[in-house]
Parts: sequence; structure tokens; C-alpha cells
Amino acid sequence: MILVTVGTHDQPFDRLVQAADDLARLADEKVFIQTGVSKLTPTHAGFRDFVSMEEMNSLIEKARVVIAQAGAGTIITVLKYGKPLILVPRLKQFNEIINDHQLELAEALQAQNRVVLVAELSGVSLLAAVNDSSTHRPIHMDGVDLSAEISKVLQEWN
Amino acid sequence: MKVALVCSHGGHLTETLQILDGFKGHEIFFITYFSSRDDEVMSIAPAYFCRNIGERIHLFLWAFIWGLWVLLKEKPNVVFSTGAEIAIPFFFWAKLLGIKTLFLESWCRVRTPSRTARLAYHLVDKFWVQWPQLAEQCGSKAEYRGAVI
Repeated sequence: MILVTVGTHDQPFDRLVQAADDLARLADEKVFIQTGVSKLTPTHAGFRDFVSMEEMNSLIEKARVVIAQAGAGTIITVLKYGKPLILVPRLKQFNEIINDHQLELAEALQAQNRVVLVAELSGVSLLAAVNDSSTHRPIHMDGVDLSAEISKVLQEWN
Repeated sequence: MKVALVCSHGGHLTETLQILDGFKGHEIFFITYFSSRDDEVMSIAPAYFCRNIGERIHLFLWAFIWGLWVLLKEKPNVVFSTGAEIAIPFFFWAKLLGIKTLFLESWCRVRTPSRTARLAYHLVDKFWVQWPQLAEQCGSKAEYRGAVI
């Protein structure tokens, strides 16, 4: 299963929903889209607007590959499960977000060869990215050091 | 100590949950936006929820009143936030009330600080970012001390 998620942001991400539905038409695999506040109704893919964190985790676990907005929360959750990740940044020019920081993050991770960044968005480019994504290594999870730093500061302040 | 974890929903919340170990041994509570994850948040610690105050200026201003009420009621020793804008009212009052503050810029900011970060910079005791190249873009107070991932 290919999981597509636009996250919990309150602006629609119609470009991704549309392209993901096109991908569902082209791919031999099931596609499920978490569509967010988009008004589009996918015709080829399964979809839901929002799912609970628990449901999202189980969807990610079942997915072979995940296509997502380049939001920090989504990326962290997907990589926790070690799944190949394709990022489609929300862009300001399409009114999908208030600035282009998702593009910055996606480019930084692409430069580290840890994700596949899709710039020219279409069903075809998503399919190519899906085929390409299995060669990408998941990000090593390391929240430990930062937690220790926080713990130290709290001790200082105590 | 008692620590207020202030964050909007989505990525800011996920980032906060990534580093909960850092608050072990302390009493924590959340201040965040209503979302599909309310139950998850409440299963971890007590929580105060409000609407997304970034949507309207009057909600943002209202959050200053609400924020003061929450801080006076809970009397935390520390306010921690990963943003977004919800951090501002809480850091503002924390500074006036002498509560210690730590801001952690979101992992999603790689080269340029967020608007929240630019404001928070002047209000907080500690200002941390999650990419070394971003620390150079902010003032001398900015520190890179690791990332949530």
C-alpha cells in the first residue's frame, strides 16, 4: 500500500491529493490518501480527511512507502517506522502554506540523500519516485542527545 | 519542577513528544490547539486546549488573557515551547512573572528562523535551534544542542 498524507495543516493541499489520485490510477498498488481539508474527492484511491494519531501510525506501519507533505511532524513519524519517504513540500505560491520552509527542509533532507523530493508534481512523477524510493535509507532516529540537554538545563534551573 | 509544554498541533506537537524524556522527573502539562490528537495528549499529561490562535488577530490577543490565567493557575517553574505563535503570549507573561523559558525552534526551520522565533528570541532565557547552519543566522543567544530526530 502507498500511503499519502497531507498532515493536519488547515490549508488545503489539492495539488497533492489530485496527483495522488492520478498515481492510484497508474500504480498496481493500493493508494490511500489522508486528504485534510481538501474539497477534492479522490475516485481511484481510498481516502479519509483526518485520522487519529493511532490510526495514522498503523497506516504508516502497513504502508510500503509514504508520500507526504514536508512537515516536520509527518516526517518524524514516518521515519520512526523506517519507511521510504517521498516528500512533496507545500508551497506558498499555491496558497498551501504561509511560507516556503517545507521546501527548505525537504531540500536539506534530499541533500543528505534521506528522502526523495518531488518538485514537478504529477501522478507520473509520483510513480517514478515510488519506484525510486526503495534505495533510500531512513533517517537515523536520535532524539536522545537533545533530551539530555533539556534535562541538564532543567537541573541548572532547579 | 513544574514545566508547561506549549505548542501548536501537528509538527510542533510531534517534536515535543519526541523529547519528553528530557522532562522526566518533572511535572509536565500541555498547552496546545484542539486537534484530532487531543486524546493522545491527555493520555500523557494534563492539557489545556484552545483554538488555533494564528488564524485571527483577536484570537491571538485573547490568548494573552487566557495565557495569563493558565500561568497564574498552574504556576509552572518553566515554560518550554517548540512554537508556533502560541508560544508568544506564554513567553511574554513568563518573562514578566520571572518564569524560566526555553524555546526550541522547529526542526523544519533549516536556514531561516520562523516569525515566532524572531519574536521569542527577545523574550526567552534559552534559545535553541535544530540545525547548526540556522544558529549562525540568529543572534549570539542561539545555540544548537541537537535535534529531535
